[in-house]
Amino acid sequence: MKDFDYYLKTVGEIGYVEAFTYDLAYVSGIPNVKIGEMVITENNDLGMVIGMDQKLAEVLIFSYQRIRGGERITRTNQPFSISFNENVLGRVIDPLCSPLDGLPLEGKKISRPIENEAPNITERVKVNRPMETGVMLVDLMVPIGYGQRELVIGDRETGKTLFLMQAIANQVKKGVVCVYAAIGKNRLDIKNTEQALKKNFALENTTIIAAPSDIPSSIIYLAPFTAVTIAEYFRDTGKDVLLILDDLTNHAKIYREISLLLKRMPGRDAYPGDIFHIHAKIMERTGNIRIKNGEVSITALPVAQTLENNLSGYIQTNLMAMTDGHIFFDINEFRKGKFPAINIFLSVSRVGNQTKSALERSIADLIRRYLSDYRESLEVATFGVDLPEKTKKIIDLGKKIELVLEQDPETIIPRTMQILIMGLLLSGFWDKKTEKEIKNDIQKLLESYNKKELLGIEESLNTISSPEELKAFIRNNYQKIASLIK
Amino acid sequence: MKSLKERVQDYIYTKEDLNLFIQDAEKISDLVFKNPKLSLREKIEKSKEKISNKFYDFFLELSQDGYSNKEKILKELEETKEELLKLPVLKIQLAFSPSPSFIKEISDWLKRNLKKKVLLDVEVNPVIVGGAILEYRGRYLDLSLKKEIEKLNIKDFI
Repeated sequence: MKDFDYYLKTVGEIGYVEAFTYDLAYVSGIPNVKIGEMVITENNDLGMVIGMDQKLAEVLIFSYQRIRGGERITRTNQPFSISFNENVLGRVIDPLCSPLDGLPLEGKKISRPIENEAPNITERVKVNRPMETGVMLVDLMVPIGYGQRELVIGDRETGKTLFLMQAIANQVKKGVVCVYAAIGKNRLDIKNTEQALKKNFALENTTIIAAPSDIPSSIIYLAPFTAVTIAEYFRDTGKDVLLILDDLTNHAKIYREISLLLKRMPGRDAYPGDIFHIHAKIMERTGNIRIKNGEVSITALPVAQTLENNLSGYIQTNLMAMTDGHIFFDINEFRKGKFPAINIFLSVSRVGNQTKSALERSIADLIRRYLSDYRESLEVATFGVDLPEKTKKIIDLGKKIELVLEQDPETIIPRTMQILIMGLLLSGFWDKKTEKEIKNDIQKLLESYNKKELLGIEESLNTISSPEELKAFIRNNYQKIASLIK
Repeated sequence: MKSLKERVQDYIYTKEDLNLFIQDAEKISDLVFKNPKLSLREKIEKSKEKISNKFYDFFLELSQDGYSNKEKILKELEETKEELLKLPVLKIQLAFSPSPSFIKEISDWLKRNLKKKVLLDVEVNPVIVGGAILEYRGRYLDLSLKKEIEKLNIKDFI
């Protein structure tokens, strides 16, 4: 990045800060400046033009220091860009791409504009490859595909970030590049996220863009743009990317703050009118696209926070409208002690099902039906009447399904294991076992899987296409499986 | 007869002159309503030390021009101030402190060639060695000797 004097001499335009409010500067001069253009101050701080009238340009200054009145500013004649390289992987950087550890990014940097055009329709490909998160409840019931945009929504402290950490850990193992933007979070949470990724050896293929809540709002505003720009860079090198924007409700609040300072007309909940456009512009840059030797994707998992399960908030409904479904973390489920606290009846995946096999779809349908019957039967059971045998069985099965779908944040369950566990449950393998025994069995199966003792079973499972076949397979291999969990 | 706005332009070449004029005009506005027994000329003469030397004669002349109506004087001064504040400013960095005649020469040249009055905002910056750096309505033009020296490859020469 060249300095102020270079741009002043080459572009030959100068402006002065006439007024300022926090990170917003009103600049006179620079007659040919354009919206979205990068400007530079005499202290070599960067800024972006976000509005203008006949006399003054409104400039968002990205600096950790306060701007001064009368400060000189010049144009760069280029859109606002960030400079980085592939060495951002394994690092925690700020939205301006400066590593937070204070050490420089080694190697030659490339510059990319933060506002890029989304791939057009002809470049896009149908979402057709499943993206496993390693969380059985999600992979079976609300599946996600590479290139999908799935909103992760729920109250604070309901396990959203823990779920995202599981997804990252599982995807990094598969060689997917992960970009995690922590937007307006507190520093301790960001540190914990970094530690969690380090512990799972997932940080080496992940970039964390840290925009803690105490830095200037202009820099926080930049975070999702930086994240998607870095994601595009890795996508263009032919790698699948998982992009997590945690969270966009904070981003909307930051943009509201900036817009109100700019005296823009407030709309619903005082948010500016273009908040939908700002977020949709980011979401549209993700997706599954065609390349020479196949396809490559950016899968987006934006996060939205709710208050007491209220899904009808302005930003929340906006985000639902621009994504291909949502995973709802229910505070009531969380209070019951469920983990992950996902409400499958209020969660949707619009394109994820098309990435799954017929077997997985059938299992998901069965589970959904059983759980629905279970909830109905539970309501009947609350009256304290003597229940018929059939109802008792439904309740017993429902409880076991809920138990099997519970998963602690440290565990990752691969696809074949998910099918095997569901097969065991549906074939009655655990009918006479207690909850504790079932949990132990699952634990032992996962250990066997990690020791590669299930290779033969895994291969066979991949050829099964219906729940009936799966049940038959379990019956035929009963002894073998039983011996593994002894 | 030239109007006040036209006449004052012969006195004002730089932004500094403009600021001085505005200060003096405010003092004159105060004097207008003080001591009604005296004429404006007498009041100006009595307050000579409060008014800058540059504009003293101009305001004395003004008091003789039949500006007996107080409201008319205030209105004229206010309008003149507003008019002057609208003038475009050319910021010019020079390596030396220019003499008043040099400033007048530049100002006259600009008026002749641009066909409009332009105020000068002169800044002395010895670092530029010679020449000038111009800033006009957000445009920046480096005509300094420093820039030319930087272009030379002194290392090869020595």
